[in-house]
Amino acid sequence: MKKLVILGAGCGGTMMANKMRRHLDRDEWNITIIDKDNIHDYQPGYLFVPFGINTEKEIRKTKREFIKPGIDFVISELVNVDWDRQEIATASRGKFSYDILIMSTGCDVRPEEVEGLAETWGKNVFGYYRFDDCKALKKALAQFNGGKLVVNIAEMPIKCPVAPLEFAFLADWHFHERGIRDKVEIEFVTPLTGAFTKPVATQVLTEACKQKNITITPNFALGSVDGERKVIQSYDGTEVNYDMLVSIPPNFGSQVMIDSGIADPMGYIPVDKYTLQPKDRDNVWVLGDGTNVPTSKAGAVAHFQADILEENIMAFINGEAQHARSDGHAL
Amino acid sequence: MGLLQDTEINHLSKLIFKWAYYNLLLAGTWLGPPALQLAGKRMDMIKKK
Repeated sequence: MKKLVILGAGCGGTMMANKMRRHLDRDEWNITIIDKDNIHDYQPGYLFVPFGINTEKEIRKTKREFIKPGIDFVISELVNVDWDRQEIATASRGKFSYDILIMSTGCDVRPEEVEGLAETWGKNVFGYYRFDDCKALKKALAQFNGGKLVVNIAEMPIKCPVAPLEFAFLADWHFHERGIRDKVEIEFVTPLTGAFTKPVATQVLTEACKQKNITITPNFALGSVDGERKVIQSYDGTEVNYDMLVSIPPNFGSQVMIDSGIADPMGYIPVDKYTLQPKDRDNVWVLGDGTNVPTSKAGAVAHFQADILEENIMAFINGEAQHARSDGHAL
Repeated sequence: MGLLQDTEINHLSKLIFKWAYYNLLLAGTWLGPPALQLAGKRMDMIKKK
């Protein structure tokens, strides 16, 4: 029996498992998907939890319910990925060898990478990129009756780059609904040169910020957070004060990939941006937020990458040339 | 600016996307090529099929 192993049962991994199960004969290929837990969060919904628009029931489901029959779902922490031995080590379920490996281990926020941020987290600094953070932010917003709300992106790249601006717009709506918008100042502090990454979008979104009375502070490279003084400081010494800080901390790929020696220092796995394969590994593919590909980190990108992988992996199995090429599209 | 306003169509789009995520995307359904596949591209820089 040949073995296809998939690391990560989030958006990318689940899509790939279900796609490949349709193609591969069950008598010939075993498919195993490994993840650390059985929780599948609808991440686009995180943004709406702090405002009471989305509930836990709506966005939190189990991974297992989306994995088709005929796929082995293993719940265990990953310990090591060994491309030379073609072997995956897990914390509680032993080792798994593979003939083909698909990796979709994503990325996550790391407040501890910014001086003072982790120490202040949950006090006057909040986030919305993890479900528990969303719930804490919802409570804090409900108790916020006036002052300065700062939305800050620590550095790029981040998951869903437009989400922080969406958060600022939703905050504007939220405070209007509560009748306290005139008591709240909203400032969007970003390392980008403007509201967004692209000129046309920046122009439109800057105008939208003006209409909503949201101040934009560009070119701000976050150096540290002082929770006592309620101040964020950039590397060049510029300070922005806040009463509540909504922070988007640095995003990192999986620590296991760093420890396995297959990722860059940020935890992102270097791959060819067209084929999504690591150098000299003809039976390994990587998709989703965990690659170093210069495209948006979003489920829509993973979806189109999955189409490329599906075609090329089947060509690889059949001994044919692999023609499909990823172009990084999200739409 | 219509896309940034509070409209029923924006709300409906978000609901449809969530449904599509759970029922089509995760199932690995092919939804067609990217809509903007060729927009602004230097095609000579992209390896063709």
